Amino acid sequence: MKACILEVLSGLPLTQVSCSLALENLKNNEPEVRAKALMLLGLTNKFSIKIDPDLLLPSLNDDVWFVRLQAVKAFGTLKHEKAIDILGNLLGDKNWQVRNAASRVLAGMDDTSLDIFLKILKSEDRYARESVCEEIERTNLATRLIGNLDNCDQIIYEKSREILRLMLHLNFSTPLLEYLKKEGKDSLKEKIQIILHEAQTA
Amino acid sequence: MKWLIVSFVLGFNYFVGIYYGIFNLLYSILLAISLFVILRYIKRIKYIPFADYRNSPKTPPISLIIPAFNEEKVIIRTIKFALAVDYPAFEVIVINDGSKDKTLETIIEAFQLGKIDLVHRNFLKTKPVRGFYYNPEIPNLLIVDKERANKADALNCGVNVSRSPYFCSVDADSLLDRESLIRLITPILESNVPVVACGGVVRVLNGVTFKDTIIKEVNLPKNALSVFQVVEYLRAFLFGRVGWDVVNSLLILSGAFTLFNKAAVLEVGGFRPGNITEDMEIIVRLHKYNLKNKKPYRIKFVSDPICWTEVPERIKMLGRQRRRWQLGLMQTIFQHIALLFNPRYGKIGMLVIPYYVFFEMVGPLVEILGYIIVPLAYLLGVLNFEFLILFLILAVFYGILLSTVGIFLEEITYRRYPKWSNLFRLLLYGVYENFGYRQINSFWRTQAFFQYIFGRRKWEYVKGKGTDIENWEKGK
Repeated sequence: MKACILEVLSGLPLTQVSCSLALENLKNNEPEVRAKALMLLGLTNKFSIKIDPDLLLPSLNDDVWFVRLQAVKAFGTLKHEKAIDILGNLLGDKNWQVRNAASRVLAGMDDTSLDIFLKILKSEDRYARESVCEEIERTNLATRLIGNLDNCDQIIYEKSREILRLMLHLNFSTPLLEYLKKEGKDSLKEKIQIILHEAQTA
Repeated sequence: MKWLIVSFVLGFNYFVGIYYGIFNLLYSILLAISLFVILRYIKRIKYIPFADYRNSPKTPPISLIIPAFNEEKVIIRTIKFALAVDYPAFEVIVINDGSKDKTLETIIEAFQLGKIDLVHRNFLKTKPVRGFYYNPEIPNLLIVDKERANKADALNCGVNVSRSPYFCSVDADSLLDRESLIRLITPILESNVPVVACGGVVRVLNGVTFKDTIIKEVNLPKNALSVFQVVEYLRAFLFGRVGWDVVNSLLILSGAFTLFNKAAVLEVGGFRPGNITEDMEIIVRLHKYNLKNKKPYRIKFVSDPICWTEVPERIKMLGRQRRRWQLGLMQTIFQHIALLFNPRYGKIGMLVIPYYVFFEMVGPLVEILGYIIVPLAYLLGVLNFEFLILFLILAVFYGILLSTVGIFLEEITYRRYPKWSNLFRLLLYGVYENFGYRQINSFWRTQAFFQYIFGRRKWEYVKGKGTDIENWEKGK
């Protein structure tokens, strides 16, 4: 019943009352209720209602996959920096929908999330590394990383270059090779050639 | 010598009489069961909480796997319909099985796809994958380009790539109804026993008009051959399969539209690449594996989720299709002949496989011989007039009854052909089909029977379905 009420409320313009109800139910015993509460809270930005995003952080580690998924989606609109680390962990989640959503959210967080991608790509867990590479390509973050090779911010340039290099090491070379085939900036193509050359000689 | 010929002809006549008696009795039982089950289902359907399932996060994701070989003319339409399905979480995976036409290029252009890398684990061994194509704007569409093999290999490749616990095989020329997936998953959600496969209804697309991804009007096709197939499909799906489903004895679910439990398919080793009718073969293998290992399981058929498919409009192509089906049936039966009368496999071994061997496999041959020998016996004076009439009633008029009941079932339940003119046409064709169409079908199947026996087991092209497409080519 509570899940139904929250679902109906999600379809209506949000109010402080409906948000309070959702917050109260974040720790409900029923995962479906928790998921619906998160779905509602994910809409708060749209209606300019302020909530404390820290309250949603524990839901990212929920035991039930669809609750984690809803939490990730909620942070997609809340764009909370404290969530980045946990979202990074979710890139290796056993459920692909959670992984996919987490990578989408991180990819949508400008370049603030590059560190988390780097951290996972340097980890020992091959499965997590490959999953991250896959998601970087699926979310088109790879194109942005290639664009960053021309970025005047040295830190962003270095991080992007390193991610692309690590991806290449794991045989995720298509974005680089495809860029070389199509029309694009010569300066970027040169830098890509260098990365490819380094990988060959390594 | 004359005595021997007369004895043979007489004996054969008695055999035909008894054979059709048993055959029609079995069909009558199936018919009665189906009538009861469909009517009960129609009453129940109002109370099935489809909306709840659609909104529930517990509803499992599904991968739609569409194998495609030389399908440039129809593939975009199929993908658009698949993407428009009303289901909470699904992905569409198109496997380009080394098409020689521009299937891949057409898809890339239409959906603005780019090449990406994916981790590809070859759980089921397939021909090498050449590339993956994807558009982040359409996150639930993935195209896999692989080296040419066959449909089973393409399906296996799709299973390897799929990320969902369930996958649905869809033919490249078939269009899914918007509600088809949610209706197909319902028996799985409601069953207490693991459902390893669940099939829906395949209906004839010819004559149907649609705009974008919405079916606008369902009409009977103008082409007579297609109307015969409409009657045939109604009969096969509305009571043949429903009847067998009740006793968990389905041996055929259409590869054009069947939902599979991925883990169960992986357990049996996936689709068998050398098989002509890989859809039937995998169902037999699922039965065999689960019965052998004493695992509780169900193979279900639901009569309302719909997939529309094109049927051949030219007699030559229809002949090829029917020969192919018969060859596939025989291939599967002989691959699993150990099940025949094997009590270890329960009703599958003792009832269903014998039914398929003695009626579906041998039936066309008996029918064709009957058409020759029974009238001949009458002309030779071996047979009396009453027996000739009995044979005609059993062989022909009972067919009319079956077709009529199939149409009747459709009318009282789903009524997809709402016009009265369509109903009359269907009834008319239900009668007509027993005077020529059915006999030519039996002739093709008999041809295939001998092709199989004498080792000419080649897979034939089916060109020129509704949109003049060229379907799967399989070697050897």
